[in-house]
Amino acid sequence: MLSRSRRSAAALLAVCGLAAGTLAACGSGPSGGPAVVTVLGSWTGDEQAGFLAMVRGFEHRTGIQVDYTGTRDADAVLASDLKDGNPPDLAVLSRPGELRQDAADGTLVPIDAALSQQRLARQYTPGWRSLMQAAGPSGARHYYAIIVKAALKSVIWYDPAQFPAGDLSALRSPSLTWDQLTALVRKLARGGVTPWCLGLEDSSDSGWPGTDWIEDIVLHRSGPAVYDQWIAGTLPWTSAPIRRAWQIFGSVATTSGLVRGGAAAALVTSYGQAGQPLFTRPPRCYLDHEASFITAFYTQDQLGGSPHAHPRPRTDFDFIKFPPLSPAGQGSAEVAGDLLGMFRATPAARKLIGYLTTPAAQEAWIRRPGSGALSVNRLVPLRDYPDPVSRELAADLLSTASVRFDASDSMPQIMENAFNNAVLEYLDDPGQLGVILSGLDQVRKASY
Amino acid sequence: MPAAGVAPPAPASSPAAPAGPGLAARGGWLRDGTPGQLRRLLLTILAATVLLWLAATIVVQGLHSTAAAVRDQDAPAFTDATEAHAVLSDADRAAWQSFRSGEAQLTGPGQQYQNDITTAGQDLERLAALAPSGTASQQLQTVSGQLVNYQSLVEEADAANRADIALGNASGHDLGYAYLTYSTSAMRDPQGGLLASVDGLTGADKQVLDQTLRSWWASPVLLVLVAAAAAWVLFQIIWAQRFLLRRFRRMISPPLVLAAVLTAGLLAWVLTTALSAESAFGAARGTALPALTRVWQSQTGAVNAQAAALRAGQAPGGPGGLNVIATQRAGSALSADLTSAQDVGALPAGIPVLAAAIAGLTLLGFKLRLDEYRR
Repeated sequence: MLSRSRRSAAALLAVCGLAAGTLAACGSGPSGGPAVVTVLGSWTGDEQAGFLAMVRGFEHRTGIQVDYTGTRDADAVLASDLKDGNPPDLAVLSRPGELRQDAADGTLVPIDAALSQQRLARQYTPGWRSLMQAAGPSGARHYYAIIVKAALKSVIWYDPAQFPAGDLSALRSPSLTWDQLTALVRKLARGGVTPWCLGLEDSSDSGWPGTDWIEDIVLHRSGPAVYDQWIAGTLPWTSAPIRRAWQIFGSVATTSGLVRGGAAAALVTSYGQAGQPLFTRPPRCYLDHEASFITAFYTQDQLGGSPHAHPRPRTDFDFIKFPPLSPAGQGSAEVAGDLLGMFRATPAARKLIGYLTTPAAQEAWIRRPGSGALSVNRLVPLRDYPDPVSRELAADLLSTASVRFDASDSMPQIMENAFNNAVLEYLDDPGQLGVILSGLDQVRKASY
Repeated sequence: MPAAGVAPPAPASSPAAPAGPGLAARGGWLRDGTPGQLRRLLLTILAATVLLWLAATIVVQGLHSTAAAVRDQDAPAFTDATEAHAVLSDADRAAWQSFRSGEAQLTGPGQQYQNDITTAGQDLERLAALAPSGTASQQLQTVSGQLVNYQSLVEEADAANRADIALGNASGHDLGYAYLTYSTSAMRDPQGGLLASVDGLTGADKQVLDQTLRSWWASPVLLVLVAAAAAWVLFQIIWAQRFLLRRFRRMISPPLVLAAVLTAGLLAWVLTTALSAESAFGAARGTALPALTRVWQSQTGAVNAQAAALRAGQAPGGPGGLNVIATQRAGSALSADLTSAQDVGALPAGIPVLAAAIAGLTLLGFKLRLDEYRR
């Protein structure tokens, strides 16, 4: 894979050396190219385009080239790269658990020097700043990552144009509870359309849409305190709150007629395609529990089967907050974020890290229509979001009183993988719940 | 025809005083009369011969090293990446075939799957050996990581499938197929899946290969340089003959005639070899490479169609898979063309020998005349 010019230069050098013995007269070798920052991430398609738009200004300003590799299996690829001792300069980490583990191992490099502490304090709330920090090998806390973009997870999507008009006001009621939603869902099911869309497939991370369901149920039923204990590994999986959350999820996912295609279809349906039936004419499901980033998929879906028409925010898709299952679960929301950590400390990588925290960089991504990206930078004005739905999501993200990061993402990686797989096994055979939860407790004891 | 040692006739014009060391030391040996003209002519021919040597060496070495790079590096990189794509596609098909046929209960994803994964691993190893550090190396690392991930999903599918079978009717037999679906997704996702990453490598390798096959080393343009240098040498020798004819009334100088013959021979040798190599390059570029690409595409297309049918629930038919003989045959044709392009015979050794002979004969031809002035 030598370039033609290098090969030609080599041939000329050899010949010149042979003939004239004056290498200096024949020119020099290839000159050093621009500095390059290698970035590995799970963003592909439009998300990848969003990130590349984000870094374009940086490339123009600095002349540094950003070499991005996007794959849905980024975690597995990163693990392989680390094992080979050849990681990228920067990598996207979707889990604070992974961040903590890599920081403690000394695999990640602290980025304090690349950031202005005063500017960070102005831009991010203490909660988000805390998520960027972790304890290093010596136990001292440092900044190890920045949050490139965030998502609100406690949301349920519907198509206002197709949802039964008589039930729309009940669905949109600010005081909607889980029991009321369940009653509404059963009514919809009796109407002949399966109410819920559900897809658990995501390559090697399959199962996480189910973990989001269970996490939301735990948070909105048992409250943040129980949720935190669960994440910390001090609350057993076999405890009543967690077992009950699984059962409630099972009452949706494994009950005949409530999920489109049943559990078997949910197992093999991609999370990104699960919501497509919202937009067929007539719809084949009415509700989709997905994070805010799903709008990037919705805006690419076909509207009414037409390849030229795509769902529009507010008109064709809108959201309600995940309803509380008890008073303890009111006012909480689950969030997630893509963290960017540094594995090889180069001046160019540090510069890119510093740039990506700026409002200008964040705006480049969130301004893209249908990007589904939200910023947790407080200096990014809401008016910069391209549509009312993303503005509302961003406002909720910044204003919700009790915000909790995705539980599985916050757990040790082994625990998270076991959780994902357990969801798949549960849908395959709900009768094994006791065995599954006991197995998860075994993993909990070994991984914390 | 005079021969060396025969007393020369009187020069047509009065020769100037014989050139001696004193004149040479004063730098006049090139300016004085007929000897000076002879020496100027001699130096011109020698310079032209050196130029011919350089031009022929550059062209032949460039052609040889380009052909060697294509044969040993660019073409293998492309064919390895293409083969990796094909065998990985087939691995997915083979795994589905094993599950759908029920063989998976005893053999897991099956022997063909194992063979395909082994072949893909070997392809990636060879690519790693060929890849320079930098972007290509990083891409390869990504592909290797994705391959490990794909294999682990197939293993999960196998384990879940066996567990499903052990549970008998209590299980929906969904989980094994679910994991197999995830493995297919990990492989075939057009946005960042394993095959998409391999295609990234293939595209880069194809670009390099195309560039090399179309490089100016592989085109006749440089031959003009050799032909011009040879023409200059011949022109100077003919001019020298005319000069000697006028000044010394000699009909012909045998050493110079031989030098002219060798010059024409060297040119013919370089032209024949280079044009033959370029013809082989043309065959590789225009016939063998497209044929190999077509064979791989057709094989991959067939395998993908079989895999899609199996995923859709169709019962497995025959053994399916890749036609190894067809791909080997197409690969051999490309390899033969590239070997032929690289074959420049004894020319690399012949060029300096012939150039030295031309220079030596020219020196001899002029020495005989210059000696007449020293007597």
